[in-house]
Amino acid sequence: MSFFHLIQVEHKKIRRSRILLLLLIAAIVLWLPAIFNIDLSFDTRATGIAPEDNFFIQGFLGFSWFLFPAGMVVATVLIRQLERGNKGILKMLALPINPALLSLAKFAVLLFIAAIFILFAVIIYYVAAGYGTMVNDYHLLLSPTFVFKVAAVFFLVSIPMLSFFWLLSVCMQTMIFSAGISLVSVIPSILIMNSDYWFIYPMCYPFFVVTAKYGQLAAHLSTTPISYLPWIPVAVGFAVICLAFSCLFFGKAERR
Amino acid sequence: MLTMEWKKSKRTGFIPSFLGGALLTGLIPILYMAFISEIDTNLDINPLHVLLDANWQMMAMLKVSLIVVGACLLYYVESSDNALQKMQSLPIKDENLFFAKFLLISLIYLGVLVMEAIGLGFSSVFWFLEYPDLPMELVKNIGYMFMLSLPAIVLALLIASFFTNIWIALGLGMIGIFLATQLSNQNVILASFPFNLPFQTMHGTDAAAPDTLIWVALIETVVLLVIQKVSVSMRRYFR
Amino acid sequence: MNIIETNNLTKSYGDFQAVSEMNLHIKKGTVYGFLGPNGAGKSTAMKMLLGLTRPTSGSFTINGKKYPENRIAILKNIGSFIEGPAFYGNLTGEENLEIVQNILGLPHTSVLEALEMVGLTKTKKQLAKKYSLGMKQRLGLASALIGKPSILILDEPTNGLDPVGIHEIRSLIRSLPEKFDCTVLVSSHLLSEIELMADDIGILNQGRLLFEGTLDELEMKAVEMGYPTDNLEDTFLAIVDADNKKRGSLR
Ligand SMILES: Nc1ncnc2c1ncn2[C@@H]1O[C@H](COP(=O)(O)OP(=O)(O)O)[C@@H](O)[C@H]1O
Ligand SMILES: [Mg+2]
Repeated sequence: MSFFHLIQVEHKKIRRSRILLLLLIAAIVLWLPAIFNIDLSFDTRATGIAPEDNFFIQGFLGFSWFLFPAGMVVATVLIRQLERGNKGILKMLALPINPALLSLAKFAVLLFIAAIFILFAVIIYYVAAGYGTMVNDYHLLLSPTFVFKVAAVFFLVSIPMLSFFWLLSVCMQTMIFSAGISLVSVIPSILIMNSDYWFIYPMCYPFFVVTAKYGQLAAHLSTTPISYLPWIPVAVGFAVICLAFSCLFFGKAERR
Repeated sequence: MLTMEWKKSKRTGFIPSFLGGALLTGLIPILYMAFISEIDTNLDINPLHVLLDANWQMMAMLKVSLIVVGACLLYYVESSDNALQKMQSLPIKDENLFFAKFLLISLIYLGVLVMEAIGLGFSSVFWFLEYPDLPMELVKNIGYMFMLSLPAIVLALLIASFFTNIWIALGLGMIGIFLATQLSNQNVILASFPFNLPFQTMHGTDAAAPDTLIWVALIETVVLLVIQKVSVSMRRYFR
Repeated sequence: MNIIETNNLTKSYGDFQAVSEMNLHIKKGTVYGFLGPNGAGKSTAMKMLLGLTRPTSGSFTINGKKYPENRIAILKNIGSFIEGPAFYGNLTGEENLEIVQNILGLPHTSVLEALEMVGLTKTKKQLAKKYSLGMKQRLGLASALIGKPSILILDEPTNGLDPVGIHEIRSLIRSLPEKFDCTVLVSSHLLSEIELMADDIGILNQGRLLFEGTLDELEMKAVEMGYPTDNLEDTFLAIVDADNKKRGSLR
């Protein structure tokens, strides 16, 4: 069975799980407060950022700090539960497939869910910004090229974090531990991001990137600029190691 | 009933998770003082206010997450392997099952608060000038925070009892937490959102006086418990 | 005297009737065999008796008590086992039973007795999720038998057991009315099995009760209708088959 085929199979498994509906609700909850507090977007004296940039960045800050990582913890729990509930994993392991490939296919589904989640956030952003434009008579919509570029970078830098979540869920037998540790690892990212060693902590990459963008757009705000070295090699190495180990450990507990 | 719930939570990671969470939130103020704070501790200030203002957001965040995960877990144990069906065919009331879970989380949550108090107390004594009312202040704060967290516990359990799919319950809980972090505390109504109440501190909420919020919390707890009771009979009707 | 009686009990899912207008009469102190092919509605009917699912229409009394007014009172006297075992996988066999024992307010010895009855005494300290299929089944049975309830509702209790286990459980069920003075409602899709345990039988197909009575009465009816009688399994198949044909022609 080809890898591509396997991904299709894995994708089929999340059918009717209502995860997409959940992510859509999350995306709406993300932008609702932004609409209610839209006045804050226009209060930019301190930062010197354009209101339309401000509206977009504030929403994405909340997204990258908590909502996105927490949503992905939930998605990881989902993928794992679908497999463990009713012993589906035993069936899969009894089929002639390489467990490592199976693990990677599941990770690909996790990435797929992440991409959809980001896409939802972008779509609802346009709805919210469109509404804000109408109500305030001020053009709040940013160009799609800009928004999608930010979204694409966001997706890429979240991969190391996702691979860490995936590794935890593969290695830990007790679901609450993997979900709990993943969540707990997200919360302090706000502290670590401000230190010089932010690049060794993948959980803060998405937040860091959005914050850096904030600094770029706001005239009076200086945030740590992105330095690609040693960040990129560390990030890639981290993701590769996590994925390698999750392939190695996948299904081990069940075959014991 | 309570001892039974305790027994059911064996080997699920429920107790260790709360223990780990308690240690972690207890450590936060200590780590803050040791590594991050640049405050002049020789001033005559209330150390608790300083520590809470700096760390409470994160500590509350951790605890609310703990509540949500714990609530999901307690109901997950019921729904996997069909145990809930067995429970429903025994002569007990669904709402008692719920209430026992509520008590269990509340009690263990109180334990978490005590750990936090130890962390806060230690940091105050170790880094700050002596503050005579410290023990009393600590006890008052803990009691206050405990009361304010009850609605969050009931709401998390309510969500978990409604959705047998653990990821949906967990996801809705996460959305609730996120919403709480986004809501402003300047407005009593917004501050009263069940997941937002645990983020309030006794001195730091401008929107309402502490006793108002205590009343709000108690009323919300009762209302949510009533909703739970009604929903049990509703669900029996649709089953 | 009928300890369980149903009156036009019906359960529909949408426009599909899983159980339709069923009238059961179960006598006190007997074993009542509930027979029907897969999907006939046996589990659905039993779930309604336990209040696990709400009847769409019709009613029933258990021990003269009505559901839903007397739900708790009814459940106090019933031990049940529905659609395979229900248990807490993170607890041991013994701990699982202790929970049921606590709720029913029984002495701790009842746990050991129940374990002994189903032959799980040696493995009572193992986690329930590590049990084999048959052991899980036995654990489920133990949680029904614990405390010697006056009514037992057992849904396909011998599924997944080995031949020795099937024999054990069958003779256990057969002996229950005398030993504990209780009434048993047991379902199966095998007539050969019901034949060995039951005093009365009810045959169910596609939600309808086709026959109710003793084995002798079933044989008499079969002769009357011209069904084969030398082998009861064939009789059962012929009855169900005839019913299916009749429905087919109706559609
Ligand atoms: N929750 C449900 N929703 C829809 N249909 C159901 C449900 N439960 C049972 N059924 C249907 O009712 C019929 C009877 O099922 P059941 O009582 O389990 O049969 P059995 O006699 O094998 O125990 C089946 O056709 C099944 O598909
Ligand atoms: Mg059945």
